[in-house]
Amino acid sequence: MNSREPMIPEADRLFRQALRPYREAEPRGDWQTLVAMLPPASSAPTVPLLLRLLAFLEWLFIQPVILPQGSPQADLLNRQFLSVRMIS
Amino acid sequence: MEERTVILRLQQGDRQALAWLYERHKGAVYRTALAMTRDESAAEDILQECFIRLYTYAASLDPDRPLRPWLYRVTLNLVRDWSRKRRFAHPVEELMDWLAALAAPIPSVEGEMERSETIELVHQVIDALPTAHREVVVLFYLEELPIETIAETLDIPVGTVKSRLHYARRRLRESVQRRQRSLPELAYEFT
Repeated sequence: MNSREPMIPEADRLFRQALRPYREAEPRGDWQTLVAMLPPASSAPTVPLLLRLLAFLEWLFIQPVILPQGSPQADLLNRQFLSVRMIS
Repeated sequence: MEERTVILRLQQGDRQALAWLYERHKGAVYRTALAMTRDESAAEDILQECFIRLYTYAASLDPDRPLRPWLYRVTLNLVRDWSRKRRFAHPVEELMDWLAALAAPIPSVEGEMERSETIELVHQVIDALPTAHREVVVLFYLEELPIETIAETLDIPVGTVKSRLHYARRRLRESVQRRQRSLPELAYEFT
Protein backbone atom coordinates (compact mmCIF):
# COMPACT_ATOMS: atom_id res chain seq x y z
CA MET A 1 0.00 0.00 0.00
CA ASN A 2 1.45 3.36 -1.01
CA SER A 3 -0.49 5.69 1.20
CA ARG A 4 -1.72 5.38 4.77
CA GLU A 5 -4.91 7.35 4.29
CA PRO A 6 -6.69 5.22 1.66
CA MET A 7 -6.89 2.42 4.21
CA ILE A 8 -8.94 4.52 6.64
CA PRO A 9 -12.20 4.41 4.66
CA GLU A 10 -11.42 0.77 3.94
CA ALA A 11 -10.98 0.11 7.67
CA ASP A 12 -14.28 1.88 8.35
CA ARG A 13 -16.00 -0.29 5.78
CA LEU A 14 -14.47 -3.49 7.13
CA PHE A 15 -15.36 -2.70 10.75
CA ARG A 16 -18.97 -1.95 9.74
CA GLN A 17 -19.17 -5.07 7.62
CA ALA A 18 -17.77 -7.30 10.36
CA LEU A 19 -20.19 -5.93 12.97
CA ARG A 20 -23.25 -5.88 10.69
CA PRO A 21 -24.50 -9.39 11.65
CA TYR A 22 -24.93 -8.24 15.25
CA ARG A 23 -27.38 -5.59 14.11
CA GLU A 24 -30.00 -8.24 13.40
CA ALA A 25 -29.24 -10.26 16.54
CA GLU A 26 -32.25 -10.77 18.78
CA PRO A 27 -32.19 -12.07 22.35
CA ARG A 28 -33.95 -15.40 22.96
CA GLY A 29 -35.04 -14.56 26.48
CA ASP A 30 -38.36 -12.73 26.71
CA TRP A 31 -39.93 -10.30 29.12
CA GLN A 32 -41.43 -13.09 31.26
CA THR A 33 -37.97 -14.53 31.91
CA LEU A 34 -36.86 -11.17 33.19
CA VAL A 35 -39.93 -10.67 35.38
CA ALA A 36 -39.20 -13.93 37.16
CA MET A 37 -35.78 -12.60 38.12
CA LEU A 38 -36.87 -9.20 39.38
CA PRO A 39 -36.40 -8.48 43.06
CA PRO A 40 -39.52 -7.88 45.18
CA ALA A 41 -40.98 -4.43 44.64
CA SER A 42 -40.19 -3.36 48.19
CA SER A 43 -36.51 -4.19 48.08
CA ALA A 44 -34.59 -0.96 47.78
CA PRO A 45 -30.84 -0.94 47.22
CA THR A 46 -29.23 -1.64 50.56
CA VAL A 47 -26.35 0.21 52.13
CA PRO A 48 -23.21 -1.88 51.77
CA LEU A 49 -22.16 -3.76 54.87
CA LEU A 50 -18.84 -1.92 55.12
CA LEU A 51 -20.59 1.46 55.16
CA ARG A 52 -22.91 0.27 57.90
CA LEU A 53 -19.94 -1.04 59.88
CA LEU A 54 -18.06 2.25 59.52
CA ALA A 55 -21.10 4.22 60.63
CA PHE A 56 -21.47 1.97 63.64
CA LEU A 57 -17.79 2.26 64.60
CA GLU A 58 -17.92 6.01 64.17
CA TRP A 59 -20.99 6.20 66.37
CA LEU A 60 -19.53 3.81 68.95
CA PHE A 61 -16.03 5.20 69.36
CA ILE A 62 -15.66 8.70 68.00
CA GLN A 63 -18.69 10.24 69.60
CA PRO A 64 -18.07 9.35 73.27
CA VAL A 65 -14.30 9.91 73.11
CA ILE A 66 -13.94 13.05 71.05
CA LEU A 67 -17.29 14.76 71.18
CA PRO A 68 -18.97 15.84 74.36
CA GLN A 69 -22.45 14.39 74.80
CA GLY A 70 -25.16 16.76 73.67
CA SER A 71 -22.85 18.81 71.44
CA PRO A 72 -24.08 19.70 67.91
CA GLN A 73 -21.40 17.41 66.43
CA ALA A 74 -22.56 14.48 68.54
CA ASP A 75 -26.16 15.12 67.46
CA LEU A 76 -25.08 15.16 63.85
CA LEU A 77 -23.28 11.83 64.22
CA ASN A 78 -26.33 10.33 65.88
CA ARG A 79 -28.56 11.49 63.07
CA GLN A 80 -26.14 10.14 60.41
CA PHE A 81 -25.98 6.75 62.09
CA LEU A 82 -29.73 6.54 62.48
CA SER A 83 -30.29 7.49 58.85
CA VAL A 84 -27.86 4.82 57.65
CA ARG A 85 -29.66 2.26 59.79
CA MET A 86 -33.04 3.32 58.48
CA ILE A 87 -32.21 3.03 54.81
CA SER A 88 -30.33 -0.22 55.22
CA MET B 1 -45.57 7.33 25.00
CA GLU B 2 -42.81 9.65 26.11
CA GLU B 3 -39.81 7.97 27.74
CA ARG B 4 -39.73 10.52 30.54
CA THR B 5 -43.25 9.53 31.62
CA VAL B 6 -42.31 5.86 31.54
CA ILE B 7 -39.22 6.43 33.70
CA LEU B 8 -41.36 8.32 36.23
CA ARG B 9 -43.75 5.36 36.32
CA LEU B 10 -40.81 2.98 36.72
CA GLN B 11 -39.66 5.02 39.68
CA GLN B 12 -43.05 4.26 41.28
CA GLY B 13 -42.29 0.53 40.86
CA ASP B 14 -44.48 0.01 37.78
CA ARG B 15 -43.34 -3.22 36.10
CA GLN B 16 -45.27 -2.44 32.92
CA ALA B 17 -43.05 0.61 32.55
CA LEU B 18 -40.05 -1.68 32.76
CA ALA B 19 -41.62 -3.94 30.10
CA TRP B 20 -42.03 -0.93 27.81
CA LEU B 21 -38.40 0.11 28.29
CA TYR B 22 -37.24 -3.49 27.85
CA GLU B 23 -38.98 -3.79 24.48
CA ARG B 24 -37.60 -0.47 23.39
CA HIS B 25 -33.96 -0.97 24.39
CA LYS B 26 -33.34 -4.72 24.58
CA GLY B 27 -31.95 -4.84 21.04
CA ALA B 28 -29.28 -2.20 21.68
CA VAL B 29 -28.23 -3.75 24.99
CA TYR B 30 -28.14 -7.29 23.61
CA ARG B 31 -26.23 -6.55 20.41
CA THR B 32 -23.69 -4.40 22.28
CA ALA B 33 -23.13 -7.19 24.80
CA LEU B 34 -22.96 -9.77 22.02
CA ALA B 35 -20.47 -7.78 19.94
CA MET B 36 -18.29 -7.27 23.01
CA THR B 37 -18.40 -10.84 24.31
CA ARG B 38 -19.14 -12.84 21.13
CA ASP B 39 -20.99 -15.18 23.44
CA GLU B 40 -24.78 -15.45 23.08
CA SER B 41 -25.31 -16.91 26.52
CA ALA B 42 -23.24 -14.19 28.18
CA ALA B 43 -25.08 -11.51 26.18
CA GLU B 44 -28.46 -12.90 27.35
CA ASP B 45 -27.29 -12.83 30.97
CA ILE B 46 -25.96 -9.29 30.61
CA LEU B 47 -29.24 -8.15 29.04
CA GLN B 48 -31.23 -9.48 31.97
CA GLU B 49 -28.86 -8.14 34.61
CA CYS B 50 -28.89 -4.74 32.92
CA PHE B 51 -32.68 -4.46 33.22
CA ILE B 52 -32.70 -5.84 36.74
CA ARG B 53 -30.32 -3.01 37.63
CA LEU B 54 -32.55 -0.55 35.81
CA TYR B 55 -35.46 -1.69 37.98
CA THR B 56 -33.40 -1.73 41.17
CA TYR B 57 -31.75 1.66 40.68
CA ALA B 58 -34.66 3.43 38.94
CA ALA B 59 -34.85 5.98 41.74
CA SER B 60 -31.40 7.30 40.86
CA LEU B 61 -32.30 8.00 37.21
CA ASP B 62 -32.86 11.50 35.91
CA PRO B 63 -36.09 11.29 33.86
CA ASP B 64 -35.05 14.33 31.83
CA ARG B 65 -31.98 12.60 30.43
CA PRO B 66 -32.07 9.93 27.73
CA LEU B 67 -31.91 6.41 29.12
CA ARG B 68 -29.85 4.80 26.36
CA PRO B 69 -26.41 6.12 27.49
CA TRP B 70 -27.11 4.85 31.01
CA LEU B 71 -27.95 1.43 29.59
CA TYR B 72 -24.78 1.38 27.48
CA ARG B 73 -22.70 2.23 30.56
CA VAL B 74 -24.26 -0.54 32.64
CA THR B 75 -23.92 -3.00 29.75
CA LEU B 76 -20.23 -2.24 29.27
CA ASN B 77 -19.59 -2.48 33.02
CA LEU B 78 -21.29 -5.87 33.04
CA VAL B 79 -19.16 -6.95 30.07
CA ARG B 80 -16.05 -5.96 32.00
CA ASP B 81 -17.23 -7.99 35.00
CA TRP B 82 -17.90 -10.95 32.71
CA SER B 83 -14.42 -10.66 31.16
CA ARG B 84 -12.76 -10.57 34.56
CA LYS B 85 -14.69 -13.62 35.81
CA ARG B 86 -14.01 -15.48 32.58
CA ARG B 87 -10.29 -14.76 32.79
CA PHE B 88 -10.26 -16.06 36.33
CA ALA B 89 -12.44 -19.08 35.62
CA HIS B 90 -10.98 -20.10 32.26
CA PRO B 91 -7.31 -19.06 32.19
CA VAL B 92 -6.40 -21.71 29.60
CA GLU B 93 -9.24 -20.73 27.29
CA GLU B 94 -8.22 -17.09 27.64
CA LEU B 95 -4.61 -17.93 26.82
CA MET B 96 -5.67 -19.88 23.73
CA ASP B 97 -7.80 -16.95 22.55
CA TRP B 98 -4.85 -14.64 23.05
CA LEU B 99 -2.54 -16.92 21.12
CA ALA B 100 -5.12 -17.24 18.35
CA ALA B 101 -5.35 -13.44 18.14
CA LEU B 102 -1.56 -13.20 17.90
CA ALA B 103 -1.42 -15.74 15.15
CA ALA B 104 -4.37 -14.30 13.29
CA PRO B 105 -2.83 -11.74 10.99
CA ILE B 106 -0.94 -14.35 9.00
CA PRO B 107 -3.26 -16.99 7.62
CA SER B 108 -2.22 -20.60 7.67
CA VAL B 109 -3.97 -21.45 4.43
CA GLU B 110 -2.48 -20.73 1.06
CA GLY B 111 -4.23 -19.63 -2.08
CA GLU B 112 -7.34 -17.57 -2.41
CA MET B 113 -8.52 -15.55 0.57
CA GLU B 114 -12.23 -15.87 1.12
CA ARG B 115 -14.37 -12.89 2.01
CA SER B 116 -15.27 -14.56 5.28
CA GLU B 117 -11.61 -14.81 6.17
CA THR B 118 -11.28 -11.05 5.84
CA ILE B 119 -14.22 -10.59 8.16
CA GLU B 120 -12.74 -13.09 10.58
CA LEU B 121 -9.49 -11.12 10.47
CA VAL B 122 -11.42 -7.97 11.41
CA HIS B 123 -13.04 -9.84 14.31
CA GLN B 124 -9.66 -11.00 15.49
CA VAL B 125 -8.37 -7.45 15.38
CA ILE B 126 -11.41 -6.27 17.37
CA ASP B 127 -11.00 -9.10 19.90
CA ALA B 128 -7.33 -8.30 20.37
CA LEU B 129 -8.02 -4.61 21.11
CA PRO B 130 -7.92 -3.44 24.73
CA THR B 131 -11.43 -3.43 26.20
CA ALA B 132 -11.64 0.37 26.32
CA HIS B 133 -10.83 0.55 22.58
CA ARG B 134 -13.24 -2.26 21.73
CA GLU B 135 -16.05 -0.39 23.49
CA VAL B 136 -15.47 2.65 21.29
CA VAL B 137 -15.32 0.53 18.12
CA VAL B 138 -18.60 -1.23 18.96
CA LEU B 139 -20.43 1.98 19.87
CA PHE B 140 -19.15 3.76 16.75
CA TYR B 141 -19.42 1.08 14.07
CA LEU B 142 -22.25 -1.07 15.39
CA GLU B 143 -24.42 1.39 17.28
CA GLU B 144 -23.37 4.24 14.98
CA LEU B 145 -23.28 6.74 17.83
CA PRO B 146 -21.74 10.14 17.17
CA ILE B 147 -18.27 10.62 18.66
CA GLU B 148 -19.61 13.22 21.11
CA THR B 149 -22.27 10.80 22.39
CA ILE B 150 -19.68 8.06 22.85
CA ALA B 151 -17.51 10.46 24.82
CA GLU B 152 -20.46 11.37 27.04
CA THR B 153 -21.53 7.76 27.48
CA LEU B 154 -18.07 6.55 28.45
CA ASP B 155 -17.23 9.74 30.34
CA ILE B 156 -14.04 10.34 28.37
CA PRO B 157 -12.86 13.30 26.25
CA VAL B 158 -13.83 13.47 22.57
CA GLY B 159 -10.13 13.37 21.68
CA THR B 160 -9.75 10.05 23.48
CA VAL B 161 -12.62 8.56 21.45
CA LYS B 162 -10.94 9.75 18.25
CA SER B 163 -7.54 8.41 19.25
CA ARG B 164 -9.01 5.00 20.18
CA LEU B 165 -10.74 4.81 16.80
CA HIS B 166 -7.51 5.79 15.08
CA TYR B 167 -5.62 3.12 17.00
CA ALA B 168 -8.19 0.47 16.02
CA ARG B 169 -8.00 1.47 12.35
CA ARG B 170 -4.23 1.40 12.47
CA ARG B 171 -4.24 -2.07 14.01
CA LEU B 172 -6.58 -3.29 11.29
CA ARG B 173 -4.45 -1.71 8.58
CA GLU B 174 -1.31 -3.37 9.96
CA SER B 175 -3.03 -6.74 10.12
CA VAL B 176 -4.31 -6.41 6.56
CA GLN B 177 -0.89 -5.34 5.33
CA ARG B 178 0.75 -8.29 7.04
CA ARG B 179 -1.75 -10.56 5.38
CA GLN B 180 -1.14 -8.91 2.02
CA ARG B 181 2.57 -9.49 2.35
CA SER B 182 1.88 -13.16 2.86
CA LEU B 183 -0.70 -13.19 0.05
CA PRO B 184 0.52 -10.50 -2.41
CA GLU B 185 -1.94 -11.50 -5.10
CA LEU B 186 -4.73 -10.14 -2.91
CA ALA B 187 -3.29 -6.67 -2.48
CA TYR B 188 -5.78 -5.23 -4.96
CA GLU B 189 -8.52 -5.48 -2.37
CA PHE B 190 -7.02 -2.84 -0.13
CA THR B 191 -5.21 -0.46 -2.46
